[in-house]
Amino acid sequence: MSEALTLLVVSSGGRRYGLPVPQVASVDVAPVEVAGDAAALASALGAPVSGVSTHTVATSSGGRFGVSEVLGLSDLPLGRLRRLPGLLRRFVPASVLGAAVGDGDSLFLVLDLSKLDALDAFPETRT
Amino acid sequence: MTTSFDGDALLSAAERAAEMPAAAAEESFDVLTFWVAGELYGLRLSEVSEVAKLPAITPVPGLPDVLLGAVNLRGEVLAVADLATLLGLGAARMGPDARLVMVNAGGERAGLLVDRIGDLVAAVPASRSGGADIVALQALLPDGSLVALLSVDRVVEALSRGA
Repeated sequence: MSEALTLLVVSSGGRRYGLPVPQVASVDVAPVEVAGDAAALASALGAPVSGVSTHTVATSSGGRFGVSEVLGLSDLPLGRLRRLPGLLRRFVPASVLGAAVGDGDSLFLVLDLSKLDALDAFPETRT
Repeated sequence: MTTSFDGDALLSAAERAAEMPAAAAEESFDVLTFWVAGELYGLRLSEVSEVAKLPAITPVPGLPDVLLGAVNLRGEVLAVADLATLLGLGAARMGPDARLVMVNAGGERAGLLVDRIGDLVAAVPASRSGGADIVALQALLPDGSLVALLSVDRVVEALSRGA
């Protein structure tokens, strides 16, 4: 059996992202309460924000952010995880681990949540 | 492909051909022409690895305007460049005839988004473009028209700068 990475597939800013499950501490069916759009995953990535966050994802490294939709779990065979081309890698945030390629022309980004500049886990420490 | 007869264009081409040095005539090479924002451009065919229909483009955060994102082309993840923006002609138009012209540069493949493919023709150099311009030279086509031939190396160098 080939190795696979289990991903929590979410949507933020109208785009799909894969979050490695070992880096996800919890998912709550409620929007993150502080900072509004600034708390959205898309915002943390520097991508355009659209839609409303409906869920809060807490990371095992202590961050948290909002996503507009939780699409489910997906076992990504490691053979389908790709590095981004060098032409793109020089510009993208370190929190983008690579890309998952599916059947046809489907593709979504896989993130490294430990490198995501997400909200602090303790909102009372933020002003 | 030209479907109508244009006598003036033919005569102009004949005059240019007559003026061309014999050595230049021997430098004929194959060019793939394509349209970007209403302008005709070309690449040496030897620098084109493939022409592909436009797959879904996945936006990637942090990219400059000249890079549109990534595509999955038969399992290969490739960067897509907006040639129109790079040429200062406005944003790309992703109509039904849009294609990705795949080029090899800097050890990897990249897709250049064009409005539509033109033709595959033999051309000869007409004038060279110096400096850092991404247009390497003007090439003379068999119908007497000129096409701006892009330099793949300069295109990729500009993309890597985000320019």
